[in-house]
Amino acid sequence: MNRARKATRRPGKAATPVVKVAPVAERAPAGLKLEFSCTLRDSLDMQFQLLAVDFGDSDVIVDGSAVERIDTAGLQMLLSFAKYQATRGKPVLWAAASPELLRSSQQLGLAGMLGLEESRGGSEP
Amino acid sequence: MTIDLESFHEVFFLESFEALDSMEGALLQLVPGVADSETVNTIFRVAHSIKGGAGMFGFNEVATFTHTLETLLDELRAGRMEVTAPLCEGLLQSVDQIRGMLGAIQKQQVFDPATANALKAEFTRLIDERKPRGGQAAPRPVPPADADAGRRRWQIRFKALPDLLNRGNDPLRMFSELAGLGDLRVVADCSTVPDLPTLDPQICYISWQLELATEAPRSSIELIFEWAEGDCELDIQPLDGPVAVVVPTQPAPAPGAPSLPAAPTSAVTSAEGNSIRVAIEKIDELLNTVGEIVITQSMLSQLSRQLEGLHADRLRAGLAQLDMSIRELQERVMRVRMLPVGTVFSRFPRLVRDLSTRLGKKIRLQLSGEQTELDKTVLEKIGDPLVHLVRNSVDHGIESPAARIAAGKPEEGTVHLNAFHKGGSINIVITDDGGGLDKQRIVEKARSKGLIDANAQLGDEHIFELIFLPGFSTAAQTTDLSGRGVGMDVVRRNIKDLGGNIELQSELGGGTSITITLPLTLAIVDGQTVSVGTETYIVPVVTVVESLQLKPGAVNHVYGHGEVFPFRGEYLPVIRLHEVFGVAPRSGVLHEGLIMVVEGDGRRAGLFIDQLLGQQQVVIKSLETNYARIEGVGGATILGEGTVALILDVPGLLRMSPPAQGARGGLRESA
Repeated sequence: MNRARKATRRPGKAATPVVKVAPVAERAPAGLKLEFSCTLRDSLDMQFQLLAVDFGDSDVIVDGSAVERIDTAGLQMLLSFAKYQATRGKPVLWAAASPELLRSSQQLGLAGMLGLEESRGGSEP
Repeated sequence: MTIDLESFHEVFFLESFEALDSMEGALLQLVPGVADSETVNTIFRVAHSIKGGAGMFGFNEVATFTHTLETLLDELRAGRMEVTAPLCEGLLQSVDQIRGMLGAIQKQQVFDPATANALKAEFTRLIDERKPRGGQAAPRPVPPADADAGRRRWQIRFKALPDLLNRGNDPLRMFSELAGLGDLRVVADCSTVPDLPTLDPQICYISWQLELATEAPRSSIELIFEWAEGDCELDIQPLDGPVAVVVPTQPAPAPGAPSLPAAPTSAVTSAEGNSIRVAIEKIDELLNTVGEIVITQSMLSQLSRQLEGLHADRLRAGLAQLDMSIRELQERVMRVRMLPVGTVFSRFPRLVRDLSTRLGKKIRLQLSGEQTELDKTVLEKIGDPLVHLVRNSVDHGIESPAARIAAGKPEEGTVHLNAFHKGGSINIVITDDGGGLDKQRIVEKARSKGLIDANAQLGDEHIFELIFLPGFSTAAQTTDLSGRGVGMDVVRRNIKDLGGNIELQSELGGGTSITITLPLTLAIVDGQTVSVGTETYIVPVVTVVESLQLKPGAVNHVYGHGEVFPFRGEYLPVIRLHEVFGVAPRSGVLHEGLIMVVEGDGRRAGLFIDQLLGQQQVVIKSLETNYARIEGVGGATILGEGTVALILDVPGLLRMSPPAQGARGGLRESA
């Protein structure tokens, strides 16, 4: 199950959204597509966009298959988002995670807390 | 708000180039076959720091290359590989490559990676083929956890301080490097990570506890966190050995963060903490401001002389005190611009080593006076002339070992660079104990080129002067190192442009000594103030030969050469300053004014002026920056009464004038 749309952001200076959200249907899971780069440089945009989206009562399913560049700030942002969702009783689910996302989260000891330990790179969890 | 890592690039480049200089110096100390762990560690640390910085800024080519270099150095450090001459050569080449790569990135140029790739491949081959000292090839042992006697377990506690991420330090990169040392287990504590709305994405809230099983020494672990020093709390403890309290970083106090016991401050840290890096522009701005204060103070002093009474006396006394303080301030600010000449000398060990190897000569380079300080701008401009002179000494001065032995000299020649203060100047002397200059050959060459008359009798001083003429070269064979005959004139011109001087002494068979005299600074100049009409000009004292009043009829007209007058056996052209600058003179008759004989670029001329006013030290203001470049004018200054005076560029003025006439023939008496 890969609900994610194709990544449109490539490395560069274009200010395209870091996070994309699929249309919210009542009670249907909301899709969240992480883009190519989730680093400190992108973190403010990422936070703004995550906060701007109203996920309603939907579960959030994240597609991290396009992530090729991520750092501690980016992973911390995802962790904070996961905590935020958890307080609302809506744990974050993963549709897919790129090898870089998996490797980085494991390297920082965050894979378990992000729910990425069972995921396989670039495929359904 | 975004993080602009580019603002840190220049600092990284500066520090990396300095570190590469240290690395090169350390590499030159390596002796093949001798295990010098301290020197290898120094080299390793430089490679590691550059790798870390390059990785952080995304300079991946540099990071990859230095990673391979670091791996090789790690083998050397661990004693699994021996220092050999080819290896030293390869390591020196790697310094050149890193310099080239960084230089290209800094100047946004394309760097040809061919040599770097070849070196990297060679290093990789050496690493793969390494043999233990016993001589038997063995793959790198990968002992099972807790089973190898050389493997230790370390517990590392790491907590980020608020500026860690902002300064480009990423725990992810550090932990990846740690994982490269052995088996790493990471446990993150995310209890303080706030919810999304209150999260500051530029602060790292997570802290970690890590366990590392590795053969690497503690210093390797500490190195990984080196760039984060001051931005994290770090505690490294051995889990299976004696417990030692080590806090290698000096964390800044974080609000609400528990502080670790302070580590004793090492001498190195203390020394580092006592210096800061300041952009030269800031110092120049400061110097400029001080210059303005000097001018204002001078104006006030001049005004105070017109006042009378008790208060006026007190005012003058106060201003005299102020004058002393300001002069001291000016001198101290100028000292900030001063750097030890050793920063230029440091390039010569490598240069002499490479050239002597290439030429098959044995040469010992002796350096002294490296701590002698010189203005930064002067230092930057003296580097190339010095390189040329040292190359000449190595290439043409020092003989081959066989020739030296035949001449009864030691097989190894010596090139000595010495810097010292003399009066208000700095002297740099380059001496070699080589073959010296053959005066007869120089004279013959000058005759064959028509530079001197066939029957001219020249003293030593004049003979040596000939080698500074454009195109003059006595090298029997032109090499690609030196001897093209285009160098010494350029060397002298560059030194003259700095307000300096160059002299040469040589003895056939005994060696050559070249003395360069340089001003301490280019920011101020000792000037002779002169008046022409209502204008005041500054003539740098260093260019003034003599001032004289001509007798009526002493000036002659030479067709195509203008006015000339006799001076010590030669005819010098007259430069009428009022004509050059378009001002009305007090008198246009030459014997009613004064002639100031000036010298520049080996030429002399007489400046026609109204009168001499006095000598004073003036602060040089760039005319080029504030207005435009004007031929014959080197800059401007503001005088005590607030007027602007032009500082003459004597070599420039001489270039504008017709050349001097050497013979009396064809002269026409002037009125």
